[in-house]
Amino acid sequence: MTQYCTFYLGEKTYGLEILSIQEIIRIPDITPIPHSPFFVAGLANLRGQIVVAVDLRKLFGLPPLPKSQDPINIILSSDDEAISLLADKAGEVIDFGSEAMVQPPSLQRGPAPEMIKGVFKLKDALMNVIDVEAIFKNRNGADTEESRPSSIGEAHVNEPR
Amino acid sequence: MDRMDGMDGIKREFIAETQEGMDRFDQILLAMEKNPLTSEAVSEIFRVVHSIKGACGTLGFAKLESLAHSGENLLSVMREGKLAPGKDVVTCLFRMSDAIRRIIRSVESGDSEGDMDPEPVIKELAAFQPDWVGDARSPLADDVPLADAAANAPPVPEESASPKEPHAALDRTIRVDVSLLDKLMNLVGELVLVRNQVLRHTQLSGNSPLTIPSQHLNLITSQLQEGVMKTRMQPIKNVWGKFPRIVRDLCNSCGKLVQVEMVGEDTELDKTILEAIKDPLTHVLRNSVDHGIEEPDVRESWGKPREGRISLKAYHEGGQVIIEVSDDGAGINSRRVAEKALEKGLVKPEKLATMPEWELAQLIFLPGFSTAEKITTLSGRGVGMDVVKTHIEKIGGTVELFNRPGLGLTLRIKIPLTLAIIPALIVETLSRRFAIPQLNVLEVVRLKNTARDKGVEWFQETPVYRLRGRLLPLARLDRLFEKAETDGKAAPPPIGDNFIVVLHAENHQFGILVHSVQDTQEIVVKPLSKHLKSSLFAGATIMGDGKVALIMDVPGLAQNARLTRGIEEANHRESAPGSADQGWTKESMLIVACETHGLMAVPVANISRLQEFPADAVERMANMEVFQSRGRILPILRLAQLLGPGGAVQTGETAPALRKKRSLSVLVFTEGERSAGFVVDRIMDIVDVASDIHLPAGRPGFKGSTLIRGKATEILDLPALARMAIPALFSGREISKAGG
Repeated sequence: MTQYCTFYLGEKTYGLEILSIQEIIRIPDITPIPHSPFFVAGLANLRGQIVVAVDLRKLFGLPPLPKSQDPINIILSSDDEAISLLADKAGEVIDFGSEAMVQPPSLQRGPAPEMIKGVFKLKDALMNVIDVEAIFKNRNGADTEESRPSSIGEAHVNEPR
Repeated sequence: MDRMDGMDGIKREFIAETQEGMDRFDQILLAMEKNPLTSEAVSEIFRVVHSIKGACGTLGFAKLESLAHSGENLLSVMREGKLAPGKDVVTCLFRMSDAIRRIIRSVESGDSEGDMDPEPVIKELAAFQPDWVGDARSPLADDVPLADAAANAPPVPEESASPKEPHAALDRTIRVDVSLLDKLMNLVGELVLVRNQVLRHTQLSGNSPLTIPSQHLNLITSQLQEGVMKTRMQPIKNVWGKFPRIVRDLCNSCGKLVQVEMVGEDTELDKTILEAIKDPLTHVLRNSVDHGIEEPDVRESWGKPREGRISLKAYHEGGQVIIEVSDDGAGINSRRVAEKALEKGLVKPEKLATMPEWELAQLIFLPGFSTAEKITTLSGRGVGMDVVKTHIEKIGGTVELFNRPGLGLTLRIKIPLTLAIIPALIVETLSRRFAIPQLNVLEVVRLKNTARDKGVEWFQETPVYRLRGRLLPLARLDRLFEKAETDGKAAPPPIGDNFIVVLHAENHQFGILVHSVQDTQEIVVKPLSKHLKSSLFAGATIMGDGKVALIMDVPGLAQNARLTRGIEEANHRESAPGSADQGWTKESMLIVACETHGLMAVPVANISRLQEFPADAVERMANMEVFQSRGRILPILRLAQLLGPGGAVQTGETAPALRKKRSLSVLVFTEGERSAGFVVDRIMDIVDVASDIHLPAGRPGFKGSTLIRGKATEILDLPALARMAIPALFSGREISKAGG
């Protein structure tokens, strides 16, 4: 059995393996970073550690959260650095056997289909399990604001440092 | 190797220990070459090899073990005094050291010992042993006569054969994973923030019972921070230690004689910085041996000692570490450098013509430059000093070159003490805060609010600001950081940007417009996530209020803004037209205007600073006009009156002050402890001109005249003028603060 933590983006339910989550916390101030990938909300201060905040709504092509509502930060722990996923609100912890996971339909459309590892059937909804590894994979050079046309005109040198 | 799985920790420790041991091994061998054979030295390297061999047995590295074993055999023969460590023996032992290092490297990168065949080295080692019978691979350590070593050599205790026995020296030190230290450093940074908050609250609440504990907290936190910083510091000799060996090998292969000197080996640097400067320094050293130091015969014909000398020097200065590498070789032939750069198309002939001598030598920092006549295996492959420069700049350092043609070359590298905490200027613009490393900041200019464009002009597509007569290109942060909606259009700078921060990077100066300048702070640098590598930002930091601010990467900014070339050229065109045939030495001249005498030039070297004073701040003392400046009294001399209407210099009494202007521009001249201010009507410009004087001076107070921008311009002699006007002051009498 694996434990999953659910969270919500708008109407949709998503899930993450609980072992990959370090904590869930609200961090009010996020500093945006010019020329970062479009789905990066910015940098947040997690008790002295700087974490990259990923705006899941942008990643999945959803409209931004209303200003009146503060997102939650789901802090994922990894070996070298922590990443924060911004979600609307946290849900609950659910147990599932891995055999209950359904592969996402291959025809699935959407801005980031490769981000979904699999789908579980809940009582009244489907829970999309996010593949944490896939967030930054193949996205560093390809789909960033930098390479979008007319972003900064000729002032930009596309040089990795 | 499956059985290695559980032994990762042991293996890592073994690798680190072996590397350290081999460093020591090399050092001793080198020393041995110079003053042959101290038996302690032989015993020490014997122990190094011995403990490697012991550990190999446990870890199952067969090649390494047999290699160490034959080395050990040879060393034990030497220790008994049966074999003198001649050059061939030492070379052979070095070869063994190389082989061991190679195996260790492949162990480090993978699990196996790699495909290197140690047999040739083993044979070579064995050949030196008098009683060699062909079987070098005796597996038994007992073959080595440990107990009956030479009488004055301390016998190695039998127990040290077991690698698990702690060495005596290791008792007082422990090995700590760097990531643990990093974590501690982060936690301390966090603690500093909490401390700041606690302090702020207790200060606000006045005399609360928490006041004293919070002061203690403050003290302890600072000490803790210092302590944790120290754990990351390592002496620079950890890097330098390898250099004599490298130089020795280079010398052998190119037939030169070089001696390496080191001063300040114990200077400590942050580990990350130490790692970062290792390769660039090695490169500089290789260059010195390969290109700098001449062949012994050539040196002799120049009247230099046959043996060249390279000296490495490290010391702390003003929160930075200075590393100097100097050699007494041929130095840089700047003419040849210029020709080469021209030939490779790295620089335009017009630009070359305007470059002063010292700048020519700097051309070696251009990418793709290499002057080596012949390409050797050592260096001269076209990647050279530019790589050194980029590496040093990447860690926030600078490289300076001091060339003495024919006598040698000195490279001065300045690097921050630590990457973890740096002084930075905090600015606000685009309603965000940014930190700019202080190292890159030259000055901050406040813009005049009166003019609509605030003095910002346009040069082609780039906004520029006229800073003391030079065009200072401005980088548009709004363009760089945001999506530009209007491309290339000349738009005024954002309203509310009131300051220009003048930055320098890679020999270029440029400015950025910012809304406000806060203060300078020591900031804790946190690297950007690997997912967000950016050429605009060097990292991020956490400010006192807990928010995150980005740290600007100034060289990256300059590159991205692409604003340097054209303007540099414009500045050159403007400052020195047709100076190509006027020789190579240039002097900076300040152009000033004086009502009665028109434009005049003053060598910048004579001026210690420029100051503006409100006209009503002039006070009179005796029959002198004075200002108070920086807590001292500054006598002022009005140039117009000093030179007189007809050109004759008036001395003694100065005429009553004219008070029609609201502020006075003053050139401050300093000689030793004494200063005087010269009031001019306007400060126009600074230009570089050829220092040849065309006409000698026709009257006192002038050095002569020269051509500046096609006009004959007189050059003022400030020291002479000061002496003439106030002989008392500039011939020995002190004017002090108490006088006011």
